[in-house]
Amino acid sequence: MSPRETLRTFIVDTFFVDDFGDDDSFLRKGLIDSTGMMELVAFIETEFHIKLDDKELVPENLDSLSRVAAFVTRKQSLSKAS
Amino acid sequence: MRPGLPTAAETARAVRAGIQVVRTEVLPRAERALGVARARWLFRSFRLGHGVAAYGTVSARNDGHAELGDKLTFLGGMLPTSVACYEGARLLVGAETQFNYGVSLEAWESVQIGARCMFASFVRVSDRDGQRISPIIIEDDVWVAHGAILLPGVRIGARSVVSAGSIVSQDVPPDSLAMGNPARSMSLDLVAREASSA
Amino acid sequence: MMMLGLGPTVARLKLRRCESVGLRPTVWGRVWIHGEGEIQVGHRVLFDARMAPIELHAQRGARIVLDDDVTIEGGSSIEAQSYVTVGARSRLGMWCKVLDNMYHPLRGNRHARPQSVPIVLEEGVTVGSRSILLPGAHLQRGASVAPGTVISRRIPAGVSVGGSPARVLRREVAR
Repeated sequence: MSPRETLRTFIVDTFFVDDFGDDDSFLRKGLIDSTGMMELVAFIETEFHIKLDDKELVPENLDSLSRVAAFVTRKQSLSKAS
Repeated sequence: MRPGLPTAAETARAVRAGIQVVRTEVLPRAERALGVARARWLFRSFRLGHGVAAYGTVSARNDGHAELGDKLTFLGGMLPTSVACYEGARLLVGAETQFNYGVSLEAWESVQIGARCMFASFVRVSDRDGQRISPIIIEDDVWVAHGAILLPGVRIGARSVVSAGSIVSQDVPPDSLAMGNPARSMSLDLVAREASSA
Repeated sequence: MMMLGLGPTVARLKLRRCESVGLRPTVWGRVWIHGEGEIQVGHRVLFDARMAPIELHAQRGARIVLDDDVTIEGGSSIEAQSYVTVGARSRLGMWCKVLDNMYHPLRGNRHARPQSVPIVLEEGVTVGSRSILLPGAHLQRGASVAPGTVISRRIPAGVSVGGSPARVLRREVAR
């Protein structure tokens, strides 16, 4: 499964929201609250074996499914390169 | 028209208005005055700002240099708040900071708290954890929610929020939300809308 | 008092500010009931507040419902701005905090009050001591919460969660 699908499955299973688009803002649509965001971060770290820095927990990286997927892909390629 | 005795309805209305005034004006002021007087007594060994009010029991102890700012509020509840500043330590609390019940504030070396902070019930702040002593700095407008524990050596940035039940072992940058055990911080932009619409 | 069979009477006296109290309530220690909201207590509810007082706070227009055979231990506090319900045979450990309102927004004017989200604890739920249930917590049938956990969302039936942020520790496969 691509990161996007894995993430979507996780979000649907965990937060019981299924009707959301790839570019919907989690915050503005009220899809994920602050605790949920922390759970999403923990999930990304365990599932994709990447370490997120606290400085990276900003809306540009995590506020919508497409952003999260892009961020995860970027991080993965970075960790492979190093 | 002759002025006569007020009717029963009028009397009742006047009495109700009187009770209302007592409830909304007199009692809160009396409570406030009592709180201020109690704080004066409890914090007699502290350098105290004006208008500090303690609405419940606070166990306060100062063997070092403790300074409390103006208009602090200590609320009462099921557990007394405890404020302790040990020998040679420095404890500074900024103006208009609020403490709910059961807060435990301990300074062995240095604890600095900014202005307009909020400390919820059962929050523990101590700059000594048995192994090391390291100063704690809490900047302005910080909200520490129920049951959070701040470990020695952390610095909480201005306007940040420490979420309920978290254990903070690393610095929290300004405008962020710290959560979990051990706490991680994320930007408040990620979880809360801008100040104007919040 | 127990021996004289006055327990339930004393308990009823201590719970006099509740809207309704079921059969044979037990109250050990102090229970503080604040606010003008409605508190409904079911049958055989046990308040064990010998170590620390229990606080039930229902704001005007809010409702707290404790169903039959609920046990609440000392130091717990339930604060309702809208609606908190605890299902039958549930158990709240010591120093639990149940809040259906955050009381302050994360940013902006700290004195504005955010919206409440009701808290629902279904039947047979166990909540460990020092746990914090935040707005939106919904523990379904038989869920259990390890001590010191912070929860603000739905936990499916029969699952036990722990840690902060909460993680699933165990799922009940068959019952």
